[in-house]
Amino acid sequence: MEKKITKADIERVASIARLCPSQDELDGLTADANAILEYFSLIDEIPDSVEPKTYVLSHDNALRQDEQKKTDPKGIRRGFSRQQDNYMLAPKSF
Amino acid sequence: MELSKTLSTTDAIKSGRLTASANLENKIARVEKYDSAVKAFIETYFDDARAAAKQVDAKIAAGKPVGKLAGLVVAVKNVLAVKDKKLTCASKMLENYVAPYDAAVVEKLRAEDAVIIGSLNCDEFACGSDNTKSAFFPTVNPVSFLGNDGEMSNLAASDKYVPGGSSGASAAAVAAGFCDLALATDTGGSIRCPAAFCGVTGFKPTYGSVSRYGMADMAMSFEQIGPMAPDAYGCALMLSVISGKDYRDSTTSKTTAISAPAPDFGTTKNKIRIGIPKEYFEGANPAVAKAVQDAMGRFAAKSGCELIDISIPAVKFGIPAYYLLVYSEFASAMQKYDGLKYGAKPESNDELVPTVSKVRTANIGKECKRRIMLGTYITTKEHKDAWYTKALKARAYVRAQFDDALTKCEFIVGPTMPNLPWKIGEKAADPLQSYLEDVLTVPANLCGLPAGSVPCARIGKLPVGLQVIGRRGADYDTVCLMAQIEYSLSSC
Amino acid sequence: MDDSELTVMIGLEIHVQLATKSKLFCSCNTDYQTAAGPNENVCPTCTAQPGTKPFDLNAYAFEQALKIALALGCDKINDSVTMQRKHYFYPDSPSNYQRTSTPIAEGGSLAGVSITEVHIEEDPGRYDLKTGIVDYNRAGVPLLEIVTDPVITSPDHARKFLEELRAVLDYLGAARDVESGSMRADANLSIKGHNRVEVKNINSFHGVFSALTYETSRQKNMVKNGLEPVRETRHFDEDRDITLGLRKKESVDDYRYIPDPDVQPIAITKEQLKRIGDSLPELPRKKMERFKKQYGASDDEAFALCMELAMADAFERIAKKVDAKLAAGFMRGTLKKQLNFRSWDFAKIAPKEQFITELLLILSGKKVTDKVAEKILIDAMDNKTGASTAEQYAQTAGLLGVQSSDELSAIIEKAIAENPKAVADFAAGNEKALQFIAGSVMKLSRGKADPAAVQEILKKRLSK
Repeated sequence: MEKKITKADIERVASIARLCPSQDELDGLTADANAILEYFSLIDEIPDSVEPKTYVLSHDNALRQDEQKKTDPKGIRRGFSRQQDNYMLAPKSF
Repeated sequence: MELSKTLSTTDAIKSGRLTASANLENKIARVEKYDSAVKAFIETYFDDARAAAKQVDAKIAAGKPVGKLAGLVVAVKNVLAVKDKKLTCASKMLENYVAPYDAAVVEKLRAEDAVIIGSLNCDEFACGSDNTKSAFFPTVNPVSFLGNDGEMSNLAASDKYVPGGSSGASAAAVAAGFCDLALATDTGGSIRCPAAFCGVTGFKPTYGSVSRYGMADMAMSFEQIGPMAPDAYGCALMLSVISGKDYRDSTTSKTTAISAPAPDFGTTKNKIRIGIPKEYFEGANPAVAKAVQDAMGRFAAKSGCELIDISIPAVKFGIPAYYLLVYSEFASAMQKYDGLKYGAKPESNDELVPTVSKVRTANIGKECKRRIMLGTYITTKEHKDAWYTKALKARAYVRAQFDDALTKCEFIVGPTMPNLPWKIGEKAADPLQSYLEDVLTVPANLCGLPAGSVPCARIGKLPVGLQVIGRRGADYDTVCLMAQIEYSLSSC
Repeated sequence: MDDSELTVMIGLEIHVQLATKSKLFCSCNTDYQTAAGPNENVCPTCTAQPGTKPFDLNAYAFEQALKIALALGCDKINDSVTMQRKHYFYPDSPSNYQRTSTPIAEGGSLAGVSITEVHIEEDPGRYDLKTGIVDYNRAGVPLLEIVTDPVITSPDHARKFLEELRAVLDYLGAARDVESGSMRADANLSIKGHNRVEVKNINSFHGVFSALTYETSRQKNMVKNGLEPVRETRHFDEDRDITLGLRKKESVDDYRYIPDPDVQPIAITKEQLKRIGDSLPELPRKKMERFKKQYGASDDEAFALCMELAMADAFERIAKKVDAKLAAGFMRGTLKKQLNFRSWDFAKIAPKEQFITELLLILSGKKVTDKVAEKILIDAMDNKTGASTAEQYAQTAGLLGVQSSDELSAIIEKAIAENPKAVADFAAGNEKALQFIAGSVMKLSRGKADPAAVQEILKKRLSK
């Protein structure tokens, strides 16, 4: 494996993923990440010339008609953590 | 001798010898007696189930036509949405989340008059191979409680084995007789592993055969919903109900529904070639390897099929290719959990970013968080080529070798798991050790191939599963072969 | 260093809502402006409930996207388009990633601005930063994003580009009513040789002009004073017409794009492209050229007539019945002035085409003057004319008839008598005094006098 993963790398990634592990957890995660990716670097053996395959199936064009269907929104609104007059209420950003 | 428990039950109900209500009460009685030990259920729906069973009985009494699953009791892994019931995914993040809709497969269960008895435990968000990573409680493999009478008479047993995962409770529920059939999901072996560990039959369809609309995502390009049953017939019956195109899951756009088991199900007319890959046996526990080899030897002798030795060296890349891509897809799938729209509520009235971070950190479990972080890491600009893109190449590489192997034979057979079920807590420490247990199951998910597990032996009381992998789209034939193997093993 | 040495380079990313009934990946109604309330046109998929998946892609949305790409002259159309997930945490995004496609087409140009690429994506919902309220009615509405090369040279150039873009979209009918906030843009702007700044949150055509004007000024001032503009993303404040720097951590620098495993790639065939290309209407530029040739319209007239298809078509029908030059002049001048004043599209106009035709007929027949014709038009647009024809209305309102020369002479004498000072001023050499008297004549005649005739007669009369 090219480069060891540092605690700072994990901290940055945690922030991007909206997670805030404790210092202890960060240590553990850093160790895990290094061990796991070290093992997984086995895939470096695979020649670069192999074409990456993104989709499992080869068919294209799953298309549908432009038609409206109404869904009862109450079941969805009942999930909101906070709400106000049927708006969902998120923290302000200003 | 009963060749298929499922077939017997469904016959009895349709012919009126057994009412749906009586069938249900049998199951409920077993749940009430044994589930405090097994701990398979997250939530039971006894009232709803009784009402449904009554309706089925009324239809049958009135001579009205009933669905394919009429009166069969079905339990559902709690990553599948059941309208107005909790969809927890065994996570604190969704502990109290009530689904506002039915998964496509649940709609189909209802349409075919199944009786849905409740929701089943699993590893949190399907991340695990032994059902110990549920945020709520671990499910226990029913074999742990087997007494000498072959029944679960030893509820005080101290050695508690894992049921496998992530759909551990689904297999446990079938094994313990809590339901006739279970619906579970398989991303890297999550149906086949628990089927093997609990001594039941499970099947993962060809990718794209069954609509995933209503299945909480773990890794979208790998997973399928599939059946668990006492036998391959039950799997085939369920498959014919749940498979088919659904405009709400565009990966099903070119699929056709799998046929229901025909009268000659479990027999094959043509001479088949079965590939035996050496990599599937080399790394396995010798007792497990031997059990599967012996079973196939007996089957070949009886059926006249041809066993061909093959080698698929790419198997060794399976775990890295699988996990790297699963991390990436899982991290993406988990972005939606921010505590705003549904699920766990934020604790305080913070600013936006800390609010979201705190609720995610507090309510998503350790393994899931680990996967999210790794998935995020390997898809960042700096690391994407080295890991994500390389993993896509590895996936292509593994797929090419498996497709090539399946030109030399119609099916591949080997052990489902490299090891016997371990005890609860044994694999807690090292995530990598857990991952490596999936080595024999992940290839079918990497390649989108249909694959199932049938019980083939017991070592002590611990079950050994035999895995059958078929060509893409050959689901019916694969389950058919599984049935044949089952019949041949049971008549020994 | 002066302004002329500072070359401004502007690029636009314009988001246009496609005119579909349902959303891109689900069957919810897209008309969020008329929804019964917030979070009404929603379903499990567009609110990213656990387990949901994108439905099969809206075929009509994709067709409209191709139509627009071809109309913009994009000559490189890709064989296959893949949806990607663009990850960022924000309350307006139900899944905290946006589905956005790889380029559908590249190349093309409009109003001299070359186009980098076009692609489709999902609109997010609406989140108000100040109150925290979120509404997902808009989440999942299909958007077409048009990305230009950074070759726009000024806010005015941007405005011309957008005007022509709006016309093209109007002709195709592929986009939702552009006025109602269904077009948004992000801009990037730099002074050549200096850092590039992104500006987000521009929600109208006018906003583009204001944002770019402010930002051009801001950057030019910095550069002139030896300061380097910070490479950042700024937020356009519509209320104050200024751009503001965002806090650093709110800018996302890595969206971690991955292809969306739940959406199958979409193949584009040559047959499909040919069919769509063949069905394209005559586009604004071409129509303008034709109007100039066919009807003798001037550049200005052709532009004004062709910016809206309904107006261009109406003009052609009217020009079959009345003199084309007269119609062109009237529609580009009087009519357009009233439309602009009311911020209306031609399609919304109160008087029907028939009414305009008649109005032009009585004008060309000299039964009313230009000023009276304008007044009749205004009354029609204010809904005062009821079911009357133009002539009937003019009759009833006593506006019909241009002054006869006898009546006119009498009025002119009266005006001269009533304005002795002006007459004296004119005699003393003040040319403007004549206009004063002419104005008086027009008032006395209630606008029915022919202004040209009044000028001529007055000049003769007062020069005696």
